[in-house]
Amino acid sequence: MLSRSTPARPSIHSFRREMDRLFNEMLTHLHDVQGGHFKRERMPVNVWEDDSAVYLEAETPGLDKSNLDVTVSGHELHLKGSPGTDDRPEGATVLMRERDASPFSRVIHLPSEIDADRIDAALDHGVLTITMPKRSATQSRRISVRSGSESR
Amino acid sequence: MMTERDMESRRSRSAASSRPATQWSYRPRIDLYDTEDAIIGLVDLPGAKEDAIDIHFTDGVLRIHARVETRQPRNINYDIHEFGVGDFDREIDVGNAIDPDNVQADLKHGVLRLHMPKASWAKPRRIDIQSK
Repeated sequence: MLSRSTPARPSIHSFRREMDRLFNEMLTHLHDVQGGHFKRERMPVNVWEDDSAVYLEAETPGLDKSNLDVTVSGHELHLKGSPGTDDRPEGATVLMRERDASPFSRVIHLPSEIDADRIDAALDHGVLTITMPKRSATQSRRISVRSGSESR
Repeated sequence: MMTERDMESRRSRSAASSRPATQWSYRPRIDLYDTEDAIIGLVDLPGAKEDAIDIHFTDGVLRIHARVETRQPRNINYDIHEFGVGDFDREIDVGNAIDPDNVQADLKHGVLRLHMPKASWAKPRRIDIQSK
């Protein structure tokens, strides 16, 4: 959820945060009762590309590489994760539980054809970054045009 | 991890060199657990490095601020854009029953774990009953 930072006015700042919290809870509630489209993706991703590669970034707090699974097939990237439960203290009473604990899986449609042999995936401070170099076959290539008078 | 004093000076420094007021900040998700000896907090802070996290405890309120550096080039056209990157900010009332001098914090896989020991007066104590 977003809140605009106003460091000079702490009272308004905390008031806004509280409003954000209520709004967030309302959206969650709306989703719960209506099954609506307010739902935040279970593992949000950003995908962008440049001339040489497609990039994906996801926030995956609490996951290490042993409980993350990344596979690519054709134009699809499959992401699966199953957060461990070992960070939950045993026998403790829950006062508040907001963090996602359920397994998830997502399929991302890739905007370009990529070279599956050269994919690089890295996990750092709870952020997953996947670099997928584009296949050279899809990079622009000059096609010479024969004219009808040329002999083959 | 940082001491309370370090956190305080970091906080004032970062306030002095604060970013423009238009900078978005995000509300991190928190789990809180109550054990016999301590309150334990788990805070999702993906992308925040150890030295960019300020933890402040005043009058029973825990305040967490984590600076997150921009990781992506500016002005890119996203094919999919589902989240924004920015600082994390959260205040949470954990009550006065904890001992602020002995709060421990560590960061692993983007999750901040706070171990907040209860003040001795707040721990459960067994009272022996004298029989006559």
